[in-house]
Amino acid sequence: MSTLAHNLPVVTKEVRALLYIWGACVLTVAAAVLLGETIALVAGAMATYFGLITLGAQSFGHDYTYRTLPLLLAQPVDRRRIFVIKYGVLVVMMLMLALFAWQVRVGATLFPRDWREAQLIWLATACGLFIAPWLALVCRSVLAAAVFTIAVPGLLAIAGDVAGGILYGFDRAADIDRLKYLVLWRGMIVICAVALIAGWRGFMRLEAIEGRGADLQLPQQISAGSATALVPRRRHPIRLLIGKEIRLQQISFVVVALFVATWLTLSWFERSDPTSRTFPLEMLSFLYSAVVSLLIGALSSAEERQYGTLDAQRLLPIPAWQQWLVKAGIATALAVLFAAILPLALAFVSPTNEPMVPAFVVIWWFQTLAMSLTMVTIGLYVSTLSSSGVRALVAALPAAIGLFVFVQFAAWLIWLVAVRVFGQRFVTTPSVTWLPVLVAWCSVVWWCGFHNHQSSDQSPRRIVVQVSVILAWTVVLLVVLAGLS
Amino acid sequence: MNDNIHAIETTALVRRYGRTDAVNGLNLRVRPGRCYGFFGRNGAGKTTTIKCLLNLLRPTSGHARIFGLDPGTNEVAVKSRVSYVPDYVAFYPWMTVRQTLDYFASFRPRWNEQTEATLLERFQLDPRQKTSHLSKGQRTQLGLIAAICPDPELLILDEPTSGLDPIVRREFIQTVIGAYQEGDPGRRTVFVSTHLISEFEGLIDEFTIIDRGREVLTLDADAARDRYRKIYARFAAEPAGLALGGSRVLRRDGRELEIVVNGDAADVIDRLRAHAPETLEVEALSLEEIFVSTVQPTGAVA
Repeated sequence: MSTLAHNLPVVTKEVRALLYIWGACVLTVAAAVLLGETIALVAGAMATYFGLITLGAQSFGHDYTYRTLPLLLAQPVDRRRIFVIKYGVLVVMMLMLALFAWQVRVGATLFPRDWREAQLIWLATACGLFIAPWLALVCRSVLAAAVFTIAVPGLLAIAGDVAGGILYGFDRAADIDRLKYLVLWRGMIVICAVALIAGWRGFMRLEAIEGRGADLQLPQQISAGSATALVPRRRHPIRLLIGKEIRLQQISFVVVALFVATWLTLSWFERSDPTSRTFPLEMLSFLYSAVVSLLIGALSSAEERQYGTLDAQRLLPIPAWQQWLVKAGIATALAVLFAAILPLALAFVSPTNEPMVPAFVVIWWFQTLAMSLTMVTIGLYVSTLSSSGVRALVAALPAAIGLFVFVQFAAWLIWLVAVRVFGQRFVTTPSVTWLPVLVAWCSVVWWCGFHNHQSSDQSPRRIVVQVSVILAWTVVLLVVLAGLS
Repeated sequence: MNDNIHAIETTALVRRYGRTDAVNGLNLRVRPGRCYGFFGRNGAGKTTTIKCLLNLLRPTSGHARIFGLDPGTNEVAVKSRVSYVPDYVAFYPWMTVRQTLDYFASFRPRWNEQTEATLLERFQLDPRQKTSHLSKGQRTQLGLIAAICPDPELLILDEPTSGLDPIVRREFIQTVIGAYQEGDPGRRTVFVSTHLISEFEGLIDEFTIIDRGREVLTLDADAARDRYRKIYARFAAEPAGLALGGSRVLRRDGRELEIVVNGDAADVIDRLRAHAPETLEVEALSLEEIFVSTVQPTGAVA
């Protein structure tokens, strides 16, 4: 038997494990480029960067997700061969995605200069190729590995900024930038080399331990009381459900912490020297708000499935709608808090050099709120159909773009019909008017999500019916919105 | 309580996955206070049936009732009276054993703390241990404690003993389940789906065997043992022209014959005696043997 034929089943399995994420990213990038809208292009660029990193985490972490690690390690195959095959498949799939994104220039909106766009893609590729696989073995979770990997270059850049400020003084932006990039790239080379060796050693010594290794631990003073208590203690069921829902969002908290650290550092630098601004804070806030809302929604239901606790939850003697309301309510509250209120609070606590115009702040806030509600609702719905948070997050991004395309198209059709019938143009709708309509839209999507969450049945027919209902409801609401304006 | 109301009742229950009929027209009647066995091969539709009963899956057609209530429309009323132990037991990894039990207890109107303490001690589970550090068997034990402590009227067990070591398994089946039912005889019902039929032999009052989503056999356990007989006969020479009616031949090796008779064993014994066997032994079948004899693909039937 030839070497290829001998290795084909393992190669096929590895390709299959990555195909879902790879396909979703390629689809998102392609859709973004075809649309050409700024928001879509930003989403496409984010899909590329996050996708490249998540592919790396998925390559070595999917056996934890599917609980197939003992099976993999028990096979009479040299681990070195498995490692090489995993890496081989990963390199090929990452390069295809990176080259495709580079060729279609999806990141051009974010980074107009060619070299910076290329740098970002190669930075994400390096992170995905070297750091993410190692962290997946350490964290035993794809999502945790992806989030921590994303943090590595950000923390290096911040470290470079701080070191530059201390060495040269905070008013020498050019020198600080030079040092920052030096620290970033040299640091990345060192970390990637260490991660590759650690990943290799880790995989060679890998033990078949199931469960996550990266659950956040509450401080002992907070958790000790209940964790070590031996006597039974009852609490109000709703309070327990709320606590559980918040606990399911632990990766979101990591993202929030990273954002706060980055924001505070960047705004501090911006105040020290306005010319040192290398990345617009508004763009950072916008991207963060979109991603964290989507993530919070994506984790809500899918993580229960990932833990295997969903059936036990559904059988608790409490109305299913109450459980769902707590779940969706907590997800929405966290999304509003972290995606809409937190950036605003940061802007007040640590203001930038640009003066804040109240009218613009209000409009910006309502837009962020609307986006946050939409994203968390999309994430929540996709989550009710997904077996893990990663899968939900990966599927939610193209779903959000798809919805965006649909809304654009439907709004254009409605506008066309209205102009023909009434012979008038519509005035711009104020942001506030959107909210009740958006809440009405979210309610229907929640309702569909509730049915998915409640049942183990996820037949394609049901999904098609639900998506049709959601799209039809979207059109109805767009018509209502057009009427209101 | 109305005695005519069944603990579990399904009528022409159908559940389809795409083109596959996982459950196909299943009729079940489980009276309260019984320990009911639900047997079938892998993929026979046992777990799907249980999920339909618990409203975790909606039937494609037909009805499922728990204590006369539709679990879809009376979800809280049904769930308050039922406990379920699935074949794969999972808990939130950040909780300890104590926190997990407290969590489940908080949703229940009743929680037997004495039973909880006894079982924790019997299973040697440390309340301070994180559930993520429990073995598969220990997770199952914790799942059983969480299921039994609310004193439910109906305990649904789906492969409850998988992962348990033989000592705990025996203790669980003979002591825990037995004690649970005896706690309120005539009211507490156990519905158990298992492959380890022999281990539940002494507990099962009535059972249903399903195959490919259809009911194959429903019998009272004692009646089944009376009805099914295994007959071993050895002859001086191979008997010629021996007619065995509808008996199932387990082994036919020249002079020796081993058959299973369903129904009128006396008639078959008379026929065998007519050929003057050197040895003729008749014994009752165990539930496991009845199960095997019922669902095993028919080979040689005389």
